[in-house]
Amino acid sequence: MSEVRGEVAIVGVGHTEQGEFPGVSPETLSVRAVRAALDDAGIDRSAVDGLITCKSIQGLNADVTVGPLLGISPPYSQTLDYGTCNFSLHLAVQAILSGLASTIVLCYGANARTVRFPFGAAPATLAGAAGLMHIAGPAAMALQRHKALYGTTDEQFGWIAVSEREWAARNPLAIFREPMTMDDYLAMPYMVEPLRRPDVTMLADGGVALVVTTAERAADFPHDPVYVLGIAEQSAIQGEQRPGYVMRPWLADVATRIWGTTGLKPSDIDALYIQNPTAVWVLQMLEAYGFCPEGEAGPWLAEGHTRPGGDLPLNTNGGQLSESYMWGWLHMVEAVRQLRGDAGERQVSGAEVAMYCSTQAWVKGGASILSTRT
Amino acid sequence: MTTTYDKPLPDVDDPDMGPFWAATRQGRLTAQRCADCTTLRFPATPVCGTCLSEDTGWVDVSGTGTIWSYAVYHRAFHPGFRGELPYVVAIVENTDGLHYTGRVFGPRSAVAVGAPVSVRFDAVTPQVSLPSWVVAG
Repeated sequence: MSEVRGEVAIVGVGHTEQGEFPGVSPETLSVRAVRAALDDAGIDRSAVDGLITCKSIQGLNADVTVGPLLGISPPYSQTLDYGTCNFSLHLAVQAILSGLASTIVLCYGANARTVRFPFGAAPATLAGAAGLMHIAGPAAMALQRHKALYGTTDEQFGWIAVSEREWAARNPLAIFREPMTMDDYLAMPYMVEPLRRPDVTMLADGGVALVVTTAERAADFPHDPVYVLGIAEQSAIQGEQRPGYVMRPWLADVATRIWGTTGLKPSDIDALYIQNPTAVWVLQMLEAYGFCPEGEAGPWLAEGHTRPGGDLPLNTNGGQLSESYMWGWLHMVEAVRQLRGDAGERQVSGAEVAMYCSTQAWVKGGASILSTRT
Repeated sequence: MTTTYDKPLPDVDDPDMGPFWAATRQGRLTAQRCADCTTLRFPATPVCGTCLSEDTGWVDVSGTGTIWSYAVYHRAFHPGFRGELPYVVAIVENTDGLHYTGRVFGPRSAVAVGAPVSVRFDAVTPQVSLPSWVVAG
């Protein structure tokens, strides 16, 4: 059984507006998010004894640059290059269980939109010279192979982006809220075939923060604590050296660990969150975690499970395709809101267990399961 | 007549990949071969991931294979590609089981996962010959 089950809880979430904020640094956006998270948790920054920052996609936002703006020098501080919030949460769980800290604030901040971060720049390699650039390139190759192996169609795959847009329409924070039907989706031109523009995230400026503490202290906070039931990771740091790397077969190893250590199974999950710089990540992780059989994500998606009213609500914030990029951090915020029952018109009725699955490109996978009950 | 090549170029002086680019200038496709355990590897690395030996040589490898997967760019993320849209990039698995990324030329209708391809070398600058792949029509 999981050693971490019920030992640590998320007691505060916060974020900035999402969009383009010229003149505001990633660190300042982090501070704004931290203020919101501390307000949500009902505590002053003097109550924080740990700070874990996540580097922005630009490599900024280190603890030693955020700390001075926050005006704190807590006993424990750390910076992760790995994004998506899962790895930061896991580090916070480790720090708390080891006694390094008891109440930790985690934050991400980026102004990648304002600075026009070159997400698609070509590396000075064989691949770059061949024109393989932007995450959409290898993601498109992964989808093309999935189509060849399993017969997945554009329409089946399109349900990821269309479903997320349906959820985003119910989320005031989401950047892309205008309706997009399947006909609208299929009428859009390819960007990197077989991916269309709505299948790929768009960078935004903003910040996100969480407050995490011990289960013992969690009861003293104003909101229902959202407990960590389990965490799992799997490195794949051989990365692009392994032939077939775009298919990420090691995702199944994260799944084995998270289900094995928690004793839970896919049918126990009331709301699912999957980090998705491209919709291909969703296709791959639905299969790897066993929400549908290998190769069958296409027909399964077309059955509508992930849409509003479906039996496995997925990325109810609109995901990174429709809500905002934020390197996946807003997925964790949304999972907390759903479990608290604070998700407004997109609230999943009776949601008690949520799961967040994410990856660092080709080199690492992580998953967390959260619940208001232990 | 001189023309300027305006697409991204590889670093032909990269300490690991330099020998690969030197070979492409001679029209040869190569991979590293561990001098101790004989495992082939590509892209190049300074250490063999199979046995951790640093003793490495280069050998010619097969210039034929199949498309393992591919993507068709309808948008140019680099201005040099604007005039060539849409263009096809593939990961090719050669008959030695090695994977190479490269442009694919030939009839678009023939491009498919599993389609047979053969290598060709395009001398785009005096220093750079790019291996690309041709699909039979």
